[in-house]
Order: sequence, then structure tokens, then C-alpha cells
Amino acid sequence: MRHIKIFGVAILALSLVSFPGCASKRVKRLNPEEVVDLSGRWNDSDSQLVAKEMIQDALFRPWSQTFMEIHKRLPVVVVGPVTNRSHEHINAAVFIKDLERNLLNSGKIKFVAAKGEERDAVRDERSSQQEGYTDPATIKVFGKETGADFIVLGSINSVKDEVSGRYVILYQVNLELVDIETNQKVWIGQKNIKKSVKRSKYSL
Amino acid sequence: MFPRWRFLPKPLPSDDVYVIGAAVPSLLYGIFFLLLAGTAVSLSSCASVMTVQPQVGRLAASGRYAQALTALETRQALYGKNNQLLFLLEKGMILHLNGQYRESIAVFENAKSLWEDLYTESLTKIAASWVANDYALPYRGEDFERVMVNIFQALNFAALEDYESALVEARDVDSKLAVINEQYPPGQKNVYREDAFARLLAGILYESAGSYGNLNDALISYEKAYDAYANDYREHYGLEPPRVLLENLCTLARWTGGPDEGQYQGALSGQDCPSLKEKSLKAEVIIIQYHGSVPDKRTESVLIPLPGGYVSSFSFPQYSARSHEDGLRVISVRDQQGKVRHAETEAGEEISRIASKNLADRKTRIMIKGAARSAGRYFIERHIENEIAEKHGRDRARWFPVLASFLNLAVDRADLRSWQTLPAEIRIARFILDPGHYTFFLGQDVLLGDVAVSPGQKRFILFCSNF
Repeated sequence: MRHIKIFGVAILALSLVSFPGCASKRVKRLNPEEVVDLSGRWNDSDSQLVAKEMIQDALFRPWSQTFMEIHKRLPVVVVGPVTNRSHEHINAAVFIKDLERNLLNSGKIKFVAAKGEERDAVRDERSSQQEGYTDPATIKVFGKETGADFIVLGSINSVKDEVSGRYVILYQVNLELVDIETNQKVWIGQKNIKKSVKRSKYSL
Repeated sequence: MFPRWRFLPKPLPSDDVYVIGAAVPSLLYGIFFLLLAGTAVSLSSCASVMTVQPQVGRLAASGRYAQALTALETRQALYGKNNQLLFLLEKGMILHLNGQYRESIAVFENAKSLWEDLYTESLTKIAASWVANDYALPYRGEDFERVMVNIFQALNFAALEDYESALVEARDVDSKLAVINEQYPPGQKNVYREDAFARLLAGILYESAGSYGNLNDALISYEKAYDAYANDYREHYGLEPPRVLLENLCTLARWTGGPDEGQYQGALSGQDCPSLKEKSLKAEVIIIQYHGSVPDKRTESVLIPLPGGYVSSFSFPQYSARSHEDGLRVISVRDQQGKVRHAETEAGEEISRIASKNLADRKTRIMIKGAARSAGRYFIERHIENEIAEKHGRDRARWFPVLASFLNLAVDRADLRSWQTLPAEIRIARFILDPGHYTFFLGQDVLLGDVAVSPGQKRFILFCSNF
């Protein structure tokens, strides 16, 4: 009999706990550098971290010094496609922008706009300057684009080991710098990020 | 043993009931009436979803996608917190069927995210489901529905020719199937262990990506698809490996120089399959046909007369097939010179049979829970009746079994929730064509679309034929 009563009290207590609390929205500003992991998926912190470390590695290697000794100028680089070969949808554009920012801010290379939307936008602007509305002294002429010496190619791969409620995922980012004229690879970089994600099976 | 509750005072020597126990009957009444209130809430909740879902399903099945979407969105609140996953699945599917692939991608991604959150189960809701019914639990979907999201998401991306993103879905399927298998101990029934169509689609997508590494992945996916068709799918759903799978396997087996080429060629009735080089000079158009609608769930109830004038029942869901005609399966393609070729779509995924089998596998568990729930309620009700009789006399307790029986019957509900906009089957056909411009028809004259293809290119045409 006593057990029945206690069982009843427990059910009542659980029911009371289940009443939704006063739901409210809270907004907190974060430092963009702050690492916040919510789901365990690839996030902005991973993108920033990988881009920063890999570019530091790339610039530390001798290829740019060798190039400058031969050509007496800074190398010109373009960022090519970064292929997503992982288990999740990753916005490669964020990673590519992080790469470009770190490369350009180093001051050791020059950059040209990447093929596609970016380059098309510049070409559209140049074309519109030829339409008679622009001061002739400031019109930029065709045929003066800088050809890149190197292209950055990359891929984001993942290996996921999952059991119910828990998984370990390894993200491997590979970047290669290829001499556009000779196809020679002058630098290969690799950065791994490993995460373990565990979810609770039960909550109140 | 239950721990002794420290707030309970010492029992009176003359009575088995505690001093605070004098309040316990009213506490049990409280629980009982909470249950009554819970029932009312639960009934209103299931009535809401059960009202909207069939209407949305009917509109989608008749091809009125815009109206289905409006009916769904204007009544989102009726789905309630427990059925948000169901709402997202229905919405993502309607958008997909309506050709709004980008919008469908966004909705299905939300559904996948919510699915992850639903992994954590609320003990409160579990307790409530044991007292009332399964509508107290959030809709978590079936194992096969989790894989279906990947399939339709991959097809969304393929329709947009974003094969890199489509392959993300293929990799996710691999991971999900591993988890599905891991959660069933050896020997426990789990018919849905592999998804042959998801593997076949993954193989086609890997091939679309083109590189040697991807071709290797394609071969592995095709082999897994063949194993699933030749074993589980043949045994449980009566499906054979589609011709496109056999041809692709034969091609890749020849490319690797493996010993299996002859086996797949034999399955093709001795017909030759194109080499990888021949295929690279041509284009492929893959036709995906959705046909019919998944069956509805209906309630089966068992009435249980119990001693002491009590009546209880337990209900469980059963599938009731929705009728649909076999419909047209022949696809015609006309080139610019007017030359016409035909191919018939073949069943690649029998979703209605997978759903029925899946429910049949869980039926014993559902019935045990229903029976235990009825027994538990009866047990508590008898004790409350005895307490009322002790406190107020037998005469005043006579009304109780009638009220309790009414409540038992009112609270008992089979969980009829399911993803209703799924097609009954997914059919597949493939054309290998010279580069050029083509017009595709269902049968002879139902226009499916105009497609221009270049060497090595793969294009997908998706259409629905349930109306």
C-alpha cells in the first residue's frame, strides 16, 4: 500500500516538474574568437582555427622565399575549390574567407579574386565603367588582370564512429598549394580536429 | 524496495494508514483527476494532429501541393510541441514534391537537427505515456523514416545538380544505418537493417562525382545495395535488384577487374553492360518516380472486462493500405530527330511494405506496453476504491468503477502518428544517351521535361504519379 502511495507521489512530482516554465528569450553577445560548441558539428571556431594554423604553416615554409628569390616579387595566389567530403553540410565559403583573410593579412603574398562570383562581379564592374558614365581618366582597362602563380586546393574530410548516443568525429582538412604553370605542389598542409560528442538518453 | 520517505511521520499503531496518509486518498484522487485532465489534453492534442494530417495527406496525394502547404502551415499550432518533427517531415516532403528543392533542403535540415535533440527522452513524458497514452511522447519517427530524410535530401541536391552536397547525405546514411543496427541486440527482430535504395542512390551519386576514389566508393555502395536486395528486400518486401544496379555493378566490376562481373552479367540475362569509358562519352538521365501513398494507421482495440465491474481496453495501431492504381511506368524519351526510346521504371524502394513490416516488428512491444498500462491503471483504481470504501463506506464507493471505466476507455488511444506524405514506392529507370537535347514523357504524352546533356553528365528527373 505504501509503495502505491509513494509511486503516486512520484508521478505527481514528475507531472509538476513537467509543467513548462516561463519560457523567455535571452540574447548574449559573444566575442567572435570565443569557442562555443553546441552540437559538435563543424562550426565557425573550427573554420577560424584551421585557417589560421594552416596558413601560418604555409607561410613558414620555404616556397614563398624561393619564389621571391627567383622572381624578385611577392607570389600571387588564388583560392580554388575546397571540396566537402565530410558527413555534414559545411559552408565552405566561410572557411575560404578565413583562408583568404589569413593569407592576405600576412603581407607575404598577393591575392587575386577567385573564379566564379567574385571574379565575375569585378569584371561586371569593369565592363560597366566602359559604358560612358565614368570619368575617362579613371576607367580601368581590360586585359590588365594579374594572373595567379599558385592556387590553393583543399578538401574537408571526416571519419565518424557512432554508437547510440555517442560519436567521435575526426575532421581532416587538407590544403595544397600548386604552381599553376608547372603543376608542382609546393606545399601540403593538414590539420585534424577530433571531437567526442555524448548525448544524455534521459532528462526530466 | 522503495526508500522510506523521510517526511512521513510515524504510523499510528492502530492503523496501517499514516497521519499524513489521511491526505493520501485525496492525493491519489488528485493524481487520478490529473490523469483525467491529462486525458483531456491528450485527446485534444491527438484530435488536432489527426484532423490536419489526413487533410494534408489527401491534398498532397492529389498533387495539390500549394494547398497542402497552406493547410499545413496555417495549422502548425495544432501539431503542438510533441509533433514538430512530423510537421517538418510533412512540410519538407510537400516542398520536395512541388519542386521547391532549396526550401525543402532547409526544412529537412531542421528536421534532422530536431531528431538529434529528440534522442534525449523526458522521464516525465515517459511516465505520462505509461499512465495515459503514447501521445504524451514526442513523435520520434521510425528508423526507416530517418533514412528517408537522407534519400529525399540527396535527391533535392541531385535535382539542383549539387552532387557534392548530395554525397554528404549518402555518407550520413552509412552512419545512420550503423547506429540503427547497433541499437538492436543480436537476435532481436530488426528487419530494417539496410536500405538498398539508399545504397543504390549513393552509388549513383559517387559515380556522378567522377574521381577514381569516388568510383571505388560507388562500387562498395552498389555491392551493399545488391546484398540488401538479394537478401532482406527479396525476403521481406519481394523486391529484386533493379536493372540499373546490375548494369552499374557489372560496369564497375569490369573496371576493377574483379571476379564478379560474370555474376552480374548473368543476372542481366547475359546482356552486356557498357564499359566505364563508353559511359564517360555518353550522358545518363536517372528517372525517379514516386507512386502511391504510404498506408494510413488505424486503431485496433481490445476491450477487457475486469473483476469488480471495471472495464478497460488497450489499443494499438494497424496499417490500412490506401488503394492506388499501378499507373504508368513506361518512360519515353524523344531526341531532336524525333527518334523515341522507352524504358520501364522498376521498384527500388517499397516504403509502404517497409512501414508495415516495421510496425509488425514493434507490435508485440506496443501490445505489452498497452496491457501493462491497463493493468497498472486497474491496480491503482482498485486501491483508490478500497480507500474510498474504508473512509466513506461501500455504498459511496460504488460509483467509482463506473467513472474509472469511463476514464480507462477515454484515455486509451493508439498512436496513429506517421509521416503521411511519403510515397508508397520509389521507382527508378535510367537512360544512357548520346550528348544532346531530349524530351521526356510518362507514357506517350505526359510531359516530364526537356533536358540537355553533355558527355559524362548525369541528370535526375523526379516526378510523382499518384494522381
